Amino acid sequence: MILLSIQEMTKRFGGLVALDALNIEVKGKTIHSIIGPNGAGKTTFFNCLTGFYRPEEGEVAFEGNSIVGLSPDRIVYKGIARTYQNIRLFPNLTALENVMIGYHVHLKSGFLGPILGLKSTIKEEAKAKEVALDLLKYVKMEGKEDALAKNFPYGEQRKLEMARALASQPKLLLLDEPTAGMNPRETQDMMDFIEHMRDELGITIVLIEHQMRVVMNISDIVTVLDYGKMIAEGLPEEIKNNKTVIEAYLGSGDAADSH
Amino acid sequence: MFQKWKDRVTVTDIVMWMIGGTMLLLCLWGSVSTIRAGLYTSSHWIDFCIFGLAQGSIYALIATGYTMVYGVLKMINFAHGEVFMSGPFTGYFVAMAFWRSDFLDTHPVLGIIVIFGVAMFVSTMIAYFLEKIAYRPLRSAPRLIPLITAIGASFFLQYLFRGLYGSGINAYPDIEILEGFWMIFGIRVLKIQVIVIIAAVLLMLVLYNFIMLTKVGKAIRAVSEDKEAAALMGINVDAMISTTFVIGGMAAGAAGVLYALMFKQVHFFMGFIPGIKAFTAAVLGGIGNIPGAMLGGVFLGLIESVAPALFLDGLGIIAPYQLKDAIAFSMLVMVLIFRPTGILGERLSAKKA
Amino acid sequence: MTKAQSLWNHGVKIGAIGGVSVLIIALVGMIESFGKRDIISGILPMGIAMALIICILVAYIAANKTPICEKSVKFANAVISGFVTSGFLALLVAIGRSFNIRDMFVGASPALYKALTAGIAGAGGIFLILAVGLICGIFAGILIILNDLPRKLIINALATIFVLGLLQELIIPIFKSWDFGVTNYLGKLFYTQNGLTIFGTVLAAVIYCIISLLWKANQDTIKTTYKDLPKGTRKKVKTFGFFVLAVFLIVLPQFLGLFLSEVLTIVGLYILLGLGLNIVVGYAGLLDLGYVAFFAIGSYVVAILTSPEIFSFGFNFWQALPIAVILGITAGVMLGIPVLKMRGDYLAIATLGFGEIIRILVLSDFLKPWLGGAQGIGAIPNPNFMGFQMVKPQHIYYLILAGCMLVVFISIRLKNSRLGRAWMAMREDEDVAQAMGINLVATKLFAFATGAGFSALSGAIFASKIGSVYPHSFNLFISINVVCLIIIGGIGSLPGVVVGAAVLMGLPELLREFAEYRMFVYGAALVAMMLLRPEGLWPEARHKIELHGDDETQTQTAA
Repeated sequence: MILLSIQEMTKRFGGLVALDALNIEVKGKTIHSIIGPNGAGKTTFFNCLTGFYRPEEGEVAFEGNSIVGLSPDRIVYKGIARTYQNIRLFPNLTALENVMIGYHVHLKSGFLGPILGLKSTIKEEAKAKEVALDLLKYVKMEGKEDALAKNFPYGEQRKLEMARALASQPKLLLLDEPTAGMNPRETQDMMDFIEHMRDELGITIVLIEHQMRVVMNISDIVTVLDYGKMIAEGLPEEIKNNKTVIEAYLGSGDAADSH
Repeated sequence: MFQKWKDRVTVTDIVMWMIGGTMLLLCLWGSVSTIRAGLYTSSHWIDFCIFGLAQGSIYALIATGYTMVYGVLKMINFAHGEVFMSGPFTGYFVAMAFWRSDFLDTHPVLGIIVIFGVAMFVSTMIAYFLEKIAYRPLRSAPRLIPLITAIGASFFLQYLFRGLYGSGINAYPDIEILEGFWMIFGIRVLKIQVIVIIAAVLLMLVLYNFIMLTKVGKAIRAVSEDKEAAALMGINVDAMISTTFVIGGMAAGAAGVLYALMFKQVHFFMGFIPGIKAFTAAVLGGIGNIPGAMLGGVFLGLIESVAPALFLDGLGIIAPYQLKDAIAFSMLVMVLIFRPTGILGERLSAKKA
Repeated sequence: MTKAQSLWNHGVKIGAIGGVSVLIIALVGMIESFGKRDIISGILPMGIAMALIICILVAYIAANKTPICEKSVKFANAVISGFVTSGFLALLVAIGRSFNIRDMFVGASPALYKALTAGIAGAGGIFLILAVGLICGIFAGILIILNDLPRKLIINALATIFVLGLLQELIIPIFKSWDFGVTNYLGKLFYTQNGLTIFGTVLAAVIYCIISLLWKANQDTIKTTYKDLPKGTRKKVKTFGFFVLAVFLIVLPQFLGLFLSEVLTIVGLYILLGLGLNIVVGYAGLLDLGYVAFFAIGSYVVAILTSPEIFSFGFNFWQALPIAVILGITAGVMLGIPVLKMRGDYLAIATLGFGEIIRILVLSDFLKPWLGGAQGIGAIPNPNFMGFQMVKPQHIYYLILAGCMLVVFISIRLKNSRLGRAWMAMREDEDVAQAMGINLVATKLFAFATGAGFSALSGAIFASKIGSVYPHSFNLFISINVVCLIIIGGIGSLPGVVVGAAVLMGLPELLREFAEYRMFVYGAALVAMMLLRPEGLWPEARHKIELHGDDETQTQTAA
């Protein structure tokens, strides 16, 4: 089943073509990695998917419905969540609040509910807190819900960001370099965690990653971008031996000689 | 189809278009009916324009300071209007001393130069220490904090000068050679207005060439592009930021004396409104863009002097000149809403604003 | 760094900074105008006390900043900087006496020199200033050398004396109004007509020392006993505390005279304004400098609807109040929509522009037939509560108290709700907030609308309290004052708003000479606050958690 289908997506910044007529299809319940050299347009791709940028051309269909041009908050309601390359938590809010904000889309109360102390609001809040605490437990951060996000060490901040993204109960999770800056052990934990999310929670994951070991180990399918173009797609094994990909990463032989 | 459209156009967009459209229609209607009513002759309009140019060139000089500081620090130096005020307010005492001793009559040019010198020196010092004491420690703070500091500094400086020099409105002395009219192409124009325009244009040319051609200017531009990269290229970022404040302070001090000579008065609150207007000018021209700030200043000055008569009189509004500042503020708000990148500026996207 | 360098860098340079500060305070006239008010009757006028405090503080900082640990160097630095600071004043007196600098510096009056030299003419006065500076330096040096406990005791005892002297206008009338034998006796014991008595000064210092020593000895036991109480009892203690607070707030105006009640209503109005702006600035992070516009709208709506001067709608206050609030909210939304896409400084300037546009429009002749122009609208009737005419400030106080309670309640409820979290998320990171599914448009408009509603509410009360409205009451300074008070109190903190309003609005009313220097001091306080303590006087409870959290992570990394 195809969850996300991207057709001819093009994004330009002035004269620079950041994404050039991309065609990508993401199947449900898979881990789909996007790799490519720096500046290949990977993060731009995420930003276009989440509505932060608006692609000039092309169509994005999520579960068969177009989501191009929707504002980021509406896209979250459709079931897409993301994390950031350089962790972006709400630094002065507690871990619990961070995760509860992730659950925002499932809450309904507005202005009067909390003021009047309506029963539905109170129930909803209790539910939100419960979900958030469960998620914190899921990422092995129980008991730390009252500490401010900015005071956590790096690895826990990553986990917290993941918990926040999960709180919106997404169908599709976009992870932007989740293992950046991690040591081998932490990386291994993260890989297990990502696989766990696919297998246990049934979430489809699109992953931007630099560490080839991670990509090759956990991906079901790998897409390679270079200068905004897709240059290869396939199983990890195929990509590993693909000549164009190796050239894109290492440069062509001529260029290497001239150095 | 309708669903698609509904998803993509928000209510706020529609409201904004309506506001913009209404303003535009009002302005058009006002101008047409003013011109048809023929309340003003062409010599009126020329007077308005020259006054507007003179005032606008003063705004332009102040605006360069805003824009340069925004370039290097990405903050609005809210206290720049007070830098502008401090110079001429101090210069006033020099001017009065000269005036009492008849020095202004015997050596008017030298006297004016000394007044300019003193004013520019004081403004420069205020700008320099403002940066050093209030802004430098906050360089890496969240954006709201330097802004609040700037607001605090602005009021501190205003009331510091009020305390030091008194709260009254002080009249600048009349200087003989600046009085009277000139006939240019058969049009009678006030000498002082022409002198202000010329002086301001000269100063702006010097400033522009300094920024574009000298090594220091290049370093400042490098700092405003990218502080870290500039530091790696061996540029002393702190020194360049100080220099930016110094240059902005000098421009503001000079603008202040021109303002004082034109309106013949100084007081502690004189920097506030011109400061905000100069900020408007900087935004109009695209903040961070020096020629843009200059053009924006001149444009704002013109609009401000022409608009009350042109737009508002025709709408049957009584005493339209009372609303002069409201027009400038509306302009500011309109520009911030519809074109935050300014007329010339492409450097600051709406996202960054 | 050699010792000589340190003496130059820390002693002389910091002393010079202190000198400039004292000079500024002297020249803007603060020393002279505060000279009429005594801290200690007949001995220490407040102006001089301020100069002394700066001198000692600067000397203390100079010594504290000295990187060399040798006590003698620290001491020397304190003495030098105290001396240098006083040197600036001595120079001012010397120059001011021989040349006429009064043309330029209006504050450089003979009265200032007299106040500074304690009336001693000639070189004697100048030597006196230098000697006092030296003593201040030595005093600061001794403070540095002393152990923690005696140093804290001395500093806090002096602070107590200063505060008691400062607040005499608050304390004396309260003593008098009780009019028991004891309070009258106490009042006479501590205070003269102007300032503390010498005996009172000493007594206050001694009492302070005894209390703080006792507290120090027993604080751990008290804290642990409270902690060890069963949960139910602790809750009871808390409820009892709230009850006491409520009773205190209700009976408060009965103890205060007319003047103090008036001050209280002013502070109360600013608390109300501050609580409203706190939602916009503190929770949602939108710096709104045009906040006064909604205050004005609230006032004018009540004025137009109730006053017979321009239209005769003949509404009473209670009918006009909801209309004022609703119109305020509407205005909040309408002014909110155009500025939705702006952030940070652009938003601040745009809202400032809006505020000014509204003021200019109200002031203009164009709208005079409807809004009264510069003359404003008068003859606004007092509110009538169940047949009771609310005339005195004491009566209005209850109106404001009720308003404050309502707003505090709403603030607390909203803060821990979906909307409140959305506000705070937006404050922290707008892009990410949107990527969490938060609708920025609705969230921002709710913030603007809520703030505007509260502002309009206080405007409505203001109009009926004053009985008339003028455009000049709604200038930019109101907005700036409110921003100041929530920042100085602590952004996002409800008790901070109360503290901020009490300090920034209450104190100046008690010290009437202060009115002149209000904006001067606010400006300096804002800058100093941002540089030294950006979290404010009474920060949000969150920051306490932060410290707590710090410990936690530290122990973790240690483990």
